[in-house]
Amino acid sequence: MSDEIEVTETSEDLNVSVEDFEAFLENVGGTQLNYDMHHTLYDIQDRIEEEVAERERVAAYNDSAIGSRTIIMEALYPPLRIVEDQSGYEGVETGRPINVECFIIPKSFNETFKSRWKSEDLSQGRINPMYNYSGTGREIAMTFTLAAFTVGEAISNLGTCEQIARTVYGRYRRTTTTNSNETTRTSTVFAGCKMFKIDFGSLIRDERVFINKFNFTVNVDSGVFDYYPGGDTDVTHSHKGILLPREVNVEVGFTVVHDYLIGFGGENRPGEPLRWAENRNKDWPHGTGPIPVQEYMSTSEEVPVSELPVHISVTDPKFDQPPGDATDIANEWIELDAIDDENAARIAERFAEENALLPTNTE
Amino acid sequence: MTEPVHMRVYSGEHKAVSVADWADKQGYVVKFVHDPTGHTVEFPALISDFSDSHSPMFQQNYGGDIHDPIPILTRTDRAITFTMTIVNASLEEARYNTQCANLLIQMLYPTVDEEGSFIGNPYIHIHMMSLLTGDLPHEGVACVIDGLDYAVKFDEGVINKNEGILALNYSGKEIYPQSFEISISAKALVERTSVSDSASPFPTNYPSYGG
Repeated sequence: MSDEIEVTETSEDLNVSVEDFEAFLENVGGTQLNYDMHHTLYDIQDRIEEEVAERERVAAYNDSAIGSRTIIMEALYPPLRIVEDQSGYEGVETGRPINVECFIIPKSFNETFKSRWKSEDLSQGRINPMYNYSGTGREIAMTFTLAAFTVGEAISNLGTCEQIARTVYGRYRRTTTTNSNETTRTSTVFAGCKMFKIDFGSLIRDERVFINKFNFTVNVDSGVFDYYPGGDTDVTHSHKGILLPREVNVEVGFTVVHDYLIGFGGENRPGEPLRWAENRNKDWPHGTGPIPVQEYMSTSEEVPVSELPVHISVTDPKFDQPPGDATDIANEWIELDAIDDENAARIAERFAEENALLPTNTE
Repeated sequence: MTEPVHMRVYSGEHKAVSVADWADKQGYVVKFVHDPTGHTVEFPALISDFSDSHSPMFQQNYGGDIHDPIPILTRTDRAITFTMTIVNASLEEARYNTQCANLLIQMLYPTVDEEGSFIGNPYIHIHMMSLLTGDLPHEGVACVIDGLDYAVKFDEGVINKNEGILALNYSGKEIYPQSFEISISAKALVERTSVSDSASPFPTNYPSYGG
């Protein structure tokens, strides 16, 4: 009899005992079980029961308050993503791009908006100085903890810190020049700072930044994973001399360089100075989930095609038709737009249905 | 859209359990008005660290055989700093308050023309009960806000959906703290009164704290 067993998920599925199995064999006209077969079956049953008990214990632990600590980062907070923005690097040899995605336990999040006002005193007794506005800057400072419950997580956390530490150093490129006497010379040239796209849930939404600060501290009071010869386990490692902390605290600062329009009005909102300039139907700077945006943030209504001046090029087959037919053309375009909208809605509906069928993280 | 937006304190489904209810009943409200657009936003006035500092700027001259300075007053600056705590009692309120905070942050930006030039400087009127009022009781003090700090208090917890911590945040990616703080640092501008007979250009009751 094979030692391989299929472990069922619940103990209710294990109601098949040795006696049941004997009865089953009798019903199908099988032979009586001998002593060895009896013992093998009892062993298998014991092992199944142990396995199920272990699974139930782990499930109960994970559902408990203590067990929940192992999933709390993923449960409460979305991951922090820092991805090097490679646009503008064309022709620059930059090495391996930085790409960090990690679950964090945030400790603080401070976002500072500083308006630059220059004040001038013009004369004594003037009740207000002259204020000249020249822009508003945005900086974000975050502190967070990277916790490790296993040796593997501790190594991964240190790798994350390594990558984030590299973000604050500059880019360099190598250039090769050949002299008139055909000697080749390679030199390294500084190519400026690295830019990144960062994302952290609804608080930081795919913003372009440069990183102005990185600091990491090891909380030795939380303990470390010790060396123990003979191979790695979850809580010991076999490499003498390396320090694997259970907790590191990270402080990182971002200066945002917006790559879209901000302010009120602007080129995306012609004739609408009260609306937010971005015109993407998206809250800014922080997301608000499924609720609709306020009217001033919503996408401007498009001017109906019929109200736009119609331009028909000479290559258009309707070029020779009388001008009165322009309305028909506009109506055709409106119909085509409506068909496109319908198709888009149908696709979105299908995606929503497919997404609903996908297993959720809680399953 | 031709009308400015007016975002008042939260008045949704969960208002009864929200601090917004008490603030609304008592009139404990901080109101910000963006000068270039007229947009307004209000928050319940859970205020800490309020400070209103009036600093005269003197040139002090000393003559010969004189102990004490001859003061020459050039102007008096007024700097206002305060911190508001915004408390969320429900997911719905958290989302609404985030939109309010968004509008306040946006008020730090000007109006721009189609070429991208700044055309309306982001002056803001702040009205805070009797502590910050203008010439008329419902008006605020005109200010330039030179710093706004948005700080999330993670230690007080975050609001998740009703499923508890197992409501994994992969899809929504929303983070709503139970509370967050907005700290404002502003310089007040004095608005000339148009009706005063006084020689002083200041409003007659300037500054007014409701005393």
